[in-house]
Amino acid sequence: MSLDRDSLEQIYRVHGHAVLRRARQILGDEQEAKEILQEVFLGLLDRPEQFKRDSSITTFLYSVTTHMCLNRLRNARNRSRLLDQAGASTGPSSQPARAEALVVLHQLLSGLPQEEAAVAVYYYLDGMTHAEIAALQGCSPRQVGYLLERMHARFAPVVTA
Amino acid sequence: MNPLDHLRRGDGCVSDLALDRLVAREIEAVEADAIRAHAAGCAVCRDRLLELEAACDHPLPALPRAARPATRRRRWLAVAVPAVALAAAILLFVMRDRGDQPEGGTRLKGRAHLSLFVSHDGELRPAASGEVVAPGDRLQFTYSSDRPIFLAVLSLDGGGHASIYFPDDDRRAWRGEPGADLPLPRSTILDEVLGREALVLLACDRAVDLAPLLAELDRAGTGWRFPPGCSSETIWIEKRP
Repeated sequence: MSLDRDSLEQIYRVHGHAVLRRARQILGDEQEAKEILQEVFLGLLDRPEQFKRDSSITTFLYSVTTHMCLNRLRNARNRSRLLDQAGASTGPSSQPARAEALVVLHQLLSGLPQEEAAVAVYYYLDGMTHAEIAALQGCSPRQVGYLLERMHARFAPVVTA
Repeated sequence: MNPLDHLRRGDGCVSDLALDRLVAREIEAVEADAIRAHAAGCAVCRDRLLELEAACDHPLPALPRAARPATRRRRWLAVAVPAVALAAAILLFVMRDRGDQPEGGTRLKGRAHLSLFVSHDGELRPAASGEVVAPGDRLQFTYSSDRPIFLAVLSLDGGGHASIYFPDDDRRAWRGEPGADLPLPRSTILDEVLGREALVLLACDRAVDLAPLLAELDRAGTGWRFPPGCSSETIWIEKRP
């Protein structure tokens, strides 16, 4: 697949908002989200072959964005800063339970194995079904259920605190 | 109840992925009609769809022409911290060993001499290419030069991805004053991610822009072409538990 600058700009205009929104959700940080936005699209310009056209461009961008964000969360510097900001980024909310859940999820994501963290993002932040996650991850819906169960078991003391 | 369940919509609700694909007009008419029909009767999905559609009207940041943001950091290298405390220990180390040890470090073709030190559990040691380090270790470079010199340290991970290690707050090479065994102003505490990494040392006679160099290193790896007026050497280190 070849991808010139004009084609990339067009994809960026259509899909950039979704990438930015998801990066913001996962990282809880506007500046970091904007950096991810640029890295996703410039990475696509550098290596267009990474989009193999075996899924929609939206699905592909979901996957790339998720993994780039999770990589950032593994950075110890970001981890401590994002955790500090997680409460502030949710702000005073009309849905305090949801805001609290977001803080818990951010804490979990930084410590989970990559595959479990990705499944958690798709399930809790994107509201995907097991089948949608399975298609995106290239595994079975049963495996998705197993990963979610494992995540809950691993962090039961945290999520039930 | 699992507190994370507060993040979930209802079981019959449509995911953001499906809504984003709808907004991007990627899905077939039949599926699109089904989603819109659901949203018409579901306040949660209707509001979410309106939210995603409205977001498309907000301006996006301009897409830069540079290959990658020059401020990108390699997570492997973790936290940059002021070098003050380590610098004093290195000074003592250098004063103790100067004269009776073979010269270590990396000479950059007469422009500068860089040395890498590793602090592990409070013990300081000079490091060379092939050095095995551990999470929590602190890395510190020192340099010697008889004239002003512009320095940068880039890194290249096992997957061939380049990033800037030093300077961490500038997009150009850092100007170092003449002197011997001077510490770079930042040291780095390694995080827990294991693996092999190349530290690419760069010494130049001017304040080169690092963004194109990062792109070139990303493209060509350690066989990269660095600019005229610069010298470059590579130190490989490996982080193990």
